[in-house]
Amino acid sequence: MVEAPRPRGLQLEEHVDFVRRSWRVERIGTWALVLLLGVAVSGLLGSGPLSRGVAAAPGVLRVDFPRFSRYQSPEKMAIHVAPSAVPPGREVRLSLDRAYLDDVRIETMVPAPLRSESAADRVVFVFAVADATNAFTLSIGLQPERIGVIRARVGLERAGTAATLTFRHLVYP
Amino acid sequence: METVLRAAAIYGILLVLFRITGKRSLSQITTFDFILLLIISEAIQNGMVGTSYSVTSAVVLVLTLILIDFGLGLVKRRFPRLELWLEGAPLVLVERGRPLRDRLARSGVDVEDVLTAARRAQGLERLDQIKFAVLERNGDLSIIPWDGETREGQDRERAA
Repeated sequence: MVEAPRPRGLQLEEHVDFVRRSWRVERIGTWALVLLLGVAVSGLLGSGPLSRGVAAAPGVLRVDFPRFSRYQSPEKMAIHVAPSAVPPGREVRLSLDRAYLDDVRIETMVPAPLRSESAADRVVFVFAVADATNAFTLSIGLQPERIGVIRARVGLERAGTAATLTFRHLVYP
Repeated sequence: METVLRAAAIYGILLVLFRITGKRSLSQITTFDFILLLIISEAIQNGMVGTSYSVTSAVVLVLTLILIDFGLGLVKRRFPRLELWLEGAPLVLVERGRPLRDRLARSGVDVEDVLTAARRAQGLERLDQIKFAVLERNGDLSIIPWDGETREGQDRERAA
C-alpha cells in the first residue's frame, strides 16, 4: 500500500499512481535484466559454453567454430582434418569461400600456409604436414567484420573427392 | 554513420537500464557508487568509438550525444507525459517527521540515507527535525527542516 499524503505547504506535484506503476515496471525490468545476464553467462550472447559450434563431415573434416560471436571481437576457429583424409605428399589444401573472407578478418593462421591460391569463389590455402602421423589441425584467429548471420564454407580439396562444410555464425553488434 | 548509430544505441540502452534499476543507482551515495560510475564510463567507451582513434569520430560522437540529449529535452517539454516516463516523478519519503516506510523500501532508500542527507545539507540531528524529505527525479534527497529549530517553533508550525 502506498500512503497518499497531502503535504500542506509543499509545492510538489506527486504522481502517486505513476510512481506505483513505475515500481512495477522496475521490478519486472530488473528480472528481465537478471535473465539477460543469465543468457550472457550461458554464451548465447557470445563467448561462453553455448557459444561454440561443431560442423563435421565424419572421418574427413571437422570444424570447431564460434556459433555466437561479437562484432570486431577476436574469435578462434579450428579445422581438423582426419589423418586418413590427408592426401599423400603431405600437403593439405583447405579452402574458405570468398564471401566469408569478406565478412571476417583472418588475424592468424597456425600453421601458416605455404601459399594461397585464388579461385573463382574461394581462396585455397596450402599447408605442409610434418610427419607420417598425418595429424592436421589448423587454428585460425579471426574477427567478425559484419553484424548479422555470416555464412562460411570450408572445403578440403583433394584429387577426386572434395569435402565441403557449411555453417553459420551469428554476430552481435 | 557507424559512430552515430553506436552513440544512439548506447544512449538508448543506458537510458532504459538506469530507468529500470532506479534513480538511486547513480546518485553516488557511497564511495563505491562513484567507482562504479567510473568503471561504467570506461566500459562503454570502446562500444561507442570502436577501434577508431580519429578526431572526426570523437567529434561526431560528442555531437550525436549532445544532439540526442537536446532533442529529447525538446520533445520532453512538448510531451510532459514522456518526461514523466523518462525521468520519473519526485516522491515524498518523510512527511512531517514521519517516515513513509513503504515508499522508502520501494525506492531503495533507508532512514539512514535520509538522516545522512539531513546532516549534510541541513545539519539536522534527528528524524523528527525533518519536515519533508523528497526523493528528487535525479535521485538526490532534498531535506526540508521545520521552520524553527526549537520545540516551540515546531509546535507553532504544527498548529498552523
